[in-house]
Amino acid sequence: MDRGGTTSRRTGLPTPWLGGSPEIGLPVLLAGLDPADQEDAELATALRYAEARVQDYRSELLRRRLPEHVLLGQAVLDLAVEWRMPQVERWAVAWLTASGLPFLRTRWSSRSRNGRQRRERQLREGTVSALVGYNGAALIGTTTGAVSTWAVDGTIAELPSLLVGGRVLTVAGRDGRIVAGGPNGAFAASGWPPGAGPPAPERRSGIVAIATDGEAICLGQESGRIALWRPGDGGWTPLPRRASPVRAIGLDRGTVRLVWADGVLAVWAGGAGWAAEQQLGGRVAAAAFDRPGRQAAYAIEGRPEVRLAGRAEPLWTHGRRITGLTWSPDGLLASAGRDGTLRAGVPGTAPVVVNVEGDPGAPAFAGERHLITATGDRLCQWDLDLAGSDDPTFGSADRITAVAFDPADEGYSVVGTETGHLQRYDARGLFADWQPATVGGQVRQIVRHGEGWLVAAYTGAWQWQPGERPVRLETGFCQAVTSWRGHAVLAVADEVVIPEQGWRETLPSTVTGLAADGETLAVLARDGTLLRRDESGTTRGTTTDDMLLAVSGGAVLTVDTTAMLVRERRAGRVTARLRLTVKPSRLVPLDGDRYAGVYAAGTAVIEPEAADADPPSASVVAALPVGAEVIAAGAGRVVTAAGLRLTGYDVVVPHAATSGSGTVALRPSVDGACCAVTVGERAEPVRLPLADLAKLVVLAGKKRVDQQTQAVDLAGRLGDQLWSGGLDVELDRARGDDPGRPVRLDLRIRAEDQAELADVPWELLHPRTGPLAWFDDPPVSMVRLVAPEVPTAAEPVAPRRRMLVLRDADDALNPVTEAYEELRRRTRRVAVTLLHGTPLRANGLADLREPADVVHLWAHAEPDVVRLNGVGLPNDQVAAALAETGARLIVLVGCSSSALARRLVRLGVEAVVGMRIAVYNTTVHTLVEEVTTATLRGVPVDRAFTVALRRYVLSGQPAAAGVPLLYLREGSTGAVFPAAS
Amino acid sequence: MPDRLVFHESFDSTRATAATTRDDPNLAQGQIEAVISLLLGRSLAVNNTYALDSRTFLELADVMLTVRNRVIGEQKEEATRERLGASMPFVLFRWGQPNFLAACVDQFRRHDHEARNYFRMSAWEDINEDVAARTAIADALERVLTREHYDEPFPATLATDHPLLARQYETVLRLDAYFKNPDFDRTARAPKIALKTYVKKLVGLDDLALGDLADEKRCPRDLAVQVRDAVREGLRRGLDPNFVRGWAHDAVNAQGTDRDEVTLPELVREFVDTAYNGVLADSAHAEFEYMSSVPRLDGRDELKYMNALALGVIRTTRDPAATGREAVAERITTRMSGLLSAGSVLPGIPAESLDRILTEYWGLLADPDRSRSWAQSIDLLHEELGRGAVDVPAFRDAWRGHIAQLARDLPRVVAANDGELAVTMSNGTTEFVQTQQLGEIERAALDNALAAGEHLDDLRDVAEGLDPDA
Repeated sequence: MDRGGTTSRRTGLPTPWLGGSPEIGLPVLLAGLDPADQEDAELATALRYAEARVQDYRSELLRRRLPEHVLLGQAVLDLAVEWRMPQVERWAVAWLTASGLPFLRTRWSSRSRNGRQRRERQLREGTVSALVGYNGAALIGTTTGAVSTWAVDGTIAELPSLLVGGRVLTVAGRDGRIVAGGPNGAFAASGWPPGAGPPAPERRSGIVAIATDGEAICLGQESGRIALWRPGDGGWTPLPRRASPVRAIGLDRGTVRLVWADGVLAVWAGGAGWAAEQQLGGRVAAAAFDRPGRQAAYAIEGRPEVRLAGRAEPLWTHGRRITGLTWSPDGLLASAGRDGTLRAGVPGTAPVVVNVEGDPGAPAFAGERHLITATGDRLCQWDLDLAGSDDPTFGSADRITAVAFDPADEGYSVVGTETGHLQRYDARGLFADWQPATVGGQVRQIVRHGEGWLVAAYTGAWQWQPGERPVRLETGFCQAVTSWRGHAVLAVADEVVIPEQGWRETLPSTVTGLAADGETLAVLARDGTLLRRDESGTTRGTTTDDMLLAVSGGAVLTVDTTAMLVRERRAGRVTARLRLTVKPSRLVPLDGDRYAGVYAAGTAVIEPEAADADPPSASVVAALPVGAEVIAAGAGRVVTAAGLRLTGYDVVVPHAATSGSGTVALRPSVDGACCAVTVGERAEPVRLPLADLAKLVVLAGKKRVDQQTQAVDLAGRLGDQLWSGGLDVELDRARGDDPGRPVRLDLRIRAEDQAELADVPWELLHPRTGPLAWFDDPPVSMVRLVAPEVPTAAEPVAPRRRMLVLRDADDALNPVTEAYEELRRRTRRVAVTLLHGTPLRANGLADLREPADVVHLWAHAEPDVVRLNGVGLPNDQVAAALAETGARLIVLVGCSSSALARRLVRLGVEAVVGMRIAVYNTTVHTLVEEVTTATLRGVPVDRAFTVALRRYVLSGQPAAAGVPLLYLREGSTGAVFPAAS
Repeated sequence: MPDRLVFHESFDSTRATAATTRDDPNLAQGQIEAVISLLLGRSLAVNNTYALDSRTFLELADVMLTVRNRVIGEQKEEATRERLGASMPFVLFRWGQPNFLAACVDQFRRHDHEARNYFRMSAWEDINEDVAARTAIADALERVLTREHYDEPFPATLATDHPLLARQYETVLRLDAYFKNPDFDRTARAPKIALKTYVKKLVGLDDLALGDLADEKRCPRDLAVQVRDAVREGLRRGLDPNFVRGWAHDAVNAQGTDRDEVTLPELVREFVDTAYNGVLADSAHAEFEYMSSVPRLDGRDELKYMNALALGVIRTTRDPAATGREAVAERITTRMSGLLSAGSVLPGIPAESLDRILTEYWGLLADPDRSRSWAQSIDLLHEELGRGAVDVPAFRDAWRGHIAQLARDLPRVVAANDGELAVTMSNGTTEFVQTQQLGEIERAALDNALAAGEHLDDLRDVAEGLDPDA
């Protein structure tokens, strides 16, 4: 299938960069997508929103530094994580990898929970001052006087024919006709035939409410004046007025209904006065008429209740005052409140609730399913169909004010909030502890100190051990903390204190930054005073710098955000280390010479551009069009927060060869009480407790379901450590530029560690929130590599393979006959000869030596022996005999046969399947058939094994994934029987 | 803690008179705005005229001094009592008089309508025309001044008919005692910019420039034009060239008060009053100014617009460089703006009496832990503010941090939500809420408010260096 580009075999998403350039424009990408396909449709949605996000990205400077397709890929990736689209996520990573440029790999987002529900955009011109539903979309009026449309796919289009003088205060539309009003009677209309439209109304006070039914128009002014225009009327007809601003107008053919701020609903049906008046019971905070202009919903100031005119009981209530009301075309009513919620429903039914993180203002319906809200220049579309799963605690609006990485537990981070809550997150962005601690005031900084944390807060400096109550070390307003030579260093107002040393120094203004390395402590005050303390004593200097970055090797790094310089101070010498091109609101060291910064409009990685320049210029090497307020970075990872949104990134530098290796090496080794697992090319191993691995071995060998469940849970926790410790990054690297590329994990266990590590079901490890790697799409298989002691037999040139099926005489192994028949049927087309025409009853070692390309051995096995005809034969003898067959693939259907499998590979067999623990020979034949036939067809044995394992598990063996193991010769590509031969 | 003096337009003595009812928002406005300033660590700068004749200030001072003395008396530690005694909720700025009482005596005695220095009394409006009563009070205050003893009673002949004035008299004496602390009693300076400079600035704007300014301040252009033309017309007809503000008030008084709609003279008065208070703030050495419109209960917004226009004129007069869209956009992010609204606008916040609010405030000051963090947070807030628009995120961060902490320290008084500080106050019958935030106020919020105001904090350095005759 050619759909505008090379198609990845696994995901089905087009990958036009494969074999070509990654500089692909959006039209090409969209043209290659099939709207009827779910994955394609998801990608199309993400692409369109990503395009909008890139368009909204205001930093032209960053835009010039980075190719458009990289920014687009970054935005797609971020959205895919937020919206939980794993295929799109992988696709975006592959595209970014193909670009060959560094990028921020969004790993997780706290918004993933409700990401699909919200669609955000930033308005490029002006802030939103009026919002109303229109023709399944919404009309947006801005402070600059422009009127635009918002479509549910996120498209914003300005209507050039409508320009109000001054800010748009109100807008309405029906059937292609749109009207808008502004201050001082400013008015604009479009859609009427030339000469048939309304004239400009009298320029009096601001037009604050307007309605049209597509023919007539009614407008209400701040002064309480009302005017009506109907086709055929020469001008505007004044209606009776009240000395109060108009809140809402309903236009129902010849009848006009109005709600005034002073709490009156009145009906005009022609004539000089009101046909009816109704007291609503107080000043009206918000009101809206339904589409026919008959029903009025309203809220009275001071009462957070949504009411319907003429109905005694409120429809529903908010936690705080109501900021807006709106109706959908078909009669759904929605309200917005300062409690940070939107509520929507048919009057008389319970509303659905959407948490929106803050004040939603006055919302508008776009069709029946979507609500649009605006805050300043940010628009957000909320999908009511997805509101049902909303978390009522999510909108608690406790803004994140500080984040920190946990250097002792890589991947974990700690977050502090505006109200003083401290919360630890794991590497997947999930709560690591369910009981957050509090320090009672805004958290300013968090720093690791010994076994716990130091916390700077408005209520003082605190020490916190997760799981325990924080202990206050110092009262007063603490802006910064650090750990220096094992001592806590605290910045309280204009003092810096080391309590354990009894050292206290006062500076001229508030201390805003502390940093230290093993030798030097640096302190920066708001007035630019820089204090330095080391072995030789304490010195003070004055700077124009206002941000303390780090101390490294005795050098103090500071930032002058006015001059845009990063300076290095070492032994009295000041050198400009970096000239920044964009002013960050926060900048932190990432690793080496790289920094990570957050801006209102984006997040960027910065590194020196040319070392010989003076000062060296800096270059943005990766940027994400998503702004943030606080940031933590280290060891190639970044965590940012904006409001309640917390996001984790890896900084990825793709290899020059972007195609991806398709393999990741895992090298576990015993290191004291831990197993140090080296993952791929990462320098730092992941340390897994040996005790946990031993426990996993025991639990995974149990037969009870609850014990199996415990095993899976433990495998998940260990897997989390492995994935967050770098396996996730290495998997991306191995996939390279092809999102559909399967990955093979090559497990190498040293000979001296076999006793402790060989029985560990490594195959069961997985990230807790994801599937077993085998079942991922594309799959991640695992093979156990063994170094051969003798050369592997050459691939025979014979056109037909020979397959030998051996069995013990025990009747319990009779199912092999059935398996044999199945195998006979399934292998008909793969040019294999089944020797003997029936499973051979092996009486002794002599029967095992018959030359064959594939051997199946069905026999009872123990870790060291194989039983044949009632005799226990040592593994070495059995292995030697089987090796003599010259087979390239051997499948051992016997309990605890993994040691034998390992031995066979050492003796030169290319690939061997063994069983880690007990296996039921009545059910395992599915796996045996599949791995055999697929391998014989030329499928690499690891992929064949993956397919086989899936079939095996799907046949009703949920706990079986960690039982069959695949051993492969070191250096093997897995192609045991290459398809070409 | 350094002096951080703030001048409030809402203390204007012409706003609330002796005849003002207790539930009038004019009274609440000045008091609740003052609370906000105190929570931001600022001391209220009052000139001797407002200290004597602003009913809003006198009522605030009455409660403030009562609560202050009570909380000080409750403290067991001498050091705490001393610390509280040294804290400075307000500071007097005298003009041409040696002390507060001498200034009061002088103003009571300036009762001759025909004299150039005639002083029309507002808080003492009941006796404004009663020369004997004014003289009796002046005599009583003079005796206090001479004997340096506060046992001189309010004239017995007035006490029965004027209980409110008797209470105000007591407050004046207590204020005088408070102002005995030399730190709290200072000499005013000649303003650097006279009222005429602001008025000239307005009438000198052509339609284009005035339109731009009106748009920036979100004041309808036609209102701005009407007011400018009215002032031009007044000048053409020979208005007082010294531009004292009496003429603007006289025009309003001449039309009577029984009107539903805001009239042009009222708009002119709003403009002139705001500019005049800008002059007084300058004279009082105030580092900060909070200028807010006269509150209206009927939901009409013209006075808010005119207040905003006047602030625009003050800004462009003091800092001509601060014009143009980019400069405005940059600066506006660090501006603090405020709204006075009916308490019902924020129903979730408990409304407390002024006594209760100030008790909580003094309680915060008395608590060594909380007051320390509070003061240190204020230091940072002002350090960041002093950096202007250099580091907007840092200032915003300091602001949000400070108000979040206020809400935690004073949960009965303060609410903080999404960068907005809110204080609600009840005068027994009516509740009011004052909100403060950074940057522009949303139109919908403005429409729901009784009054709007803006801090001129970012202009203080500019004003310092300005040539007054420029």
